[in-house]
Amino acid sequence: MVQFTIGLILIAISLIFGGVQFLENNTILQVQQKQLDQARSDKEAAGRFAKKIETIKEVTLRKGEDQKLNIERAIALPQRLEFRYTSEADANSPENQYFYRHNFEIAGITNFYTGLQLINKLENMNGFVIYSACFGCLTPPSGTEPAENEKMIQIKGTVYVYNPENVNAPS
Amino acid sequence: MATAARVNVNKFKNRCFVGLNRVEYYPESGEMLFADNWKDVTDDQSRRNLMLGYFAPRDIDGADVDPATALSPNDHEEDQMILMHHGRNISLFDFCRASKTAPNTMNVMIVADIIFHWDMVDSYIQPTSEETWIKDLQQVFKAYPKSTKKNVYTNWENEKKAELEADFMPLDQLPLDTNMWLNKPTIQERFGTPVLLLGMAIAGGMYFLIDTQEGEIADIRRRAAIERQASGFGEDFRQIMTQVQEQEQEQFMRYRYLYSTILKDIAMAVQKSGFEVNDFKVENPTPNAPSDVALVTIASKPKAYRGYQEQEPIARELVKQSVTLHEIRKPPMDRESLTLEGLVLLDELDAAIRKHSQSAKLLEDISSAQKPKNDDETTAEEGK
Repeated sequence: MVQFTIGLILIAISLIFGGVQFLENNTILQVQQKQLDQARSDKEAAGRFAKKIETIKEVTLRKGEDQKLNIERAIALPQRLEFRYTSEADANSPENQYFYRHNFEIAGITNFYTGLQLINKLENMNGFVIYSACFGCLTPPSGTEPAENEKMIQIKGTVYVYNPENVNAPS
Repeated sequence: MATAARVNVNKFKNRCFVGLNRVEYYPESGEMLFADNWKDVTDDQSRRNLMLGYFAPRDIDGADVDPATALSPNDHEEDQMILMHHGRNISLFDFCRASKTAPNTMNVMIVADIIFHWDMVDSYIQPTSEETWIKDLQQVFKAYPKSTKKNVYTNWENEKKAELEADFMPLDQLPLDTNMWLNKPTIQERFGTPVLLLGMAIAGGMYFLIDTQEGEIADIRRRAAIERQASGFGEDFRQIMTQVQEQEQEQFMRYRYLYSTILKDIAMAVQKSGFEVNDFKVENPTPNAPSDVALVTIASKPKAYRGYQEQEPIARELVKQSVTLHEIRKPPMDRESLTLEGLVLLDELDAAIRKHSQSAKLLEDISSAQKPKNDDETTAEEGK
């Protein structure tokens, strides 16, 4: 009688608690299996991504190189042209911890050849993407007298920057 | 008539039938024995699986008689002790509690020193002996109609039994039923040990299963951690990748090298067509999103072109002289100058430039390969 009761209790407890635990573990097992699959695909993707990171680094500016003086020096800004940022991203913001971008404008008086050279130079520099270039569409500032072949030039674009502290491809 | 469940007599290894003054005992191995008392022919070993059949007619008041009293009317204390000691190992069968038979049927059991018979009304017991049982049985049969089916269960033999109109069967075929079995074990008692063992087996199995599962989970976790570590990017991997994807999705950099080409082409088209330009502009129409087209806006000097007849030809000539402008239009503007808007398809231009670059590189490679050869030929001619 006692054996029967204990046996039944044992069966009930085993099936209820064991069953619940089994189902719970089964769910965890499925989740872990998915995570393992994810980790494997991440590993494969990481291999491809590492190359991509290097490529991205080659076409974007390092953090610090995006300072105005550095850029002016790098592009050898001709006289009577001015470089300025129209909008600057906060490099310390969490959402900008890997990549961010600023908008810039170069404006001033110059001839077409110099302006074209400047655009060509910007196109070949890391991180610079021009989205607008204009010759003669601005009125020269008062008091300035452009030469016969000179016009007001305005170049607008974006500077892409990466943070080398956070974006590091694994060796 | 409710029929009680049948019990297989062969499930009991040892069988003992207690009569009025004699017992008939069938041990598991060995021949049938007769004795005065059931205790004399059984021992502790045989009592562990013993069917003890007896006949206990109801008391005068109709109450059932205590088994121990029925087994040994004179000295039943020892019987009680033995029965208590062995519990359900000794299965007690009171044949007087047999279920009623089917109509027109009677069963007879001849064992020990009695003839016991029962029919659809009641059960009856009377003494007999090995010498007189055939005659006694004939007397019993006389009380029943000839048409009554008579089943006789006995292991006794007699030459004259064939003369009787009855079916003789051995005691092994005795129709036992659960009504007779006084100490029939309950389901709990019958299945107690198997259920306990089953419970332990299930508990053990569950423990093993869960333990295996947890081991597997730990193993997968460890492998996932190793894989993550091997990827080299740590936990930020997905976040960086998303940002890079977003950057890539923008694809701002895809056509960035085309602006100087477009500007150069527009400037040359302006010069060749003789367009009196005041200003011109190349821009991405959607600066915050990547675009596959560039918009070119060209404005003439004020009052340079008046009316359709002057504006149309110069606009046509401008498109003709340009290789980058896909199409051109005159936006509805009320200005003194002629303003034209041109569309440059960047993807087509990009493809054309890449193709041209490849061709140019190929030509360059061919010419550089031929140059040393030509130089050699010139040197040879000079030598001649």
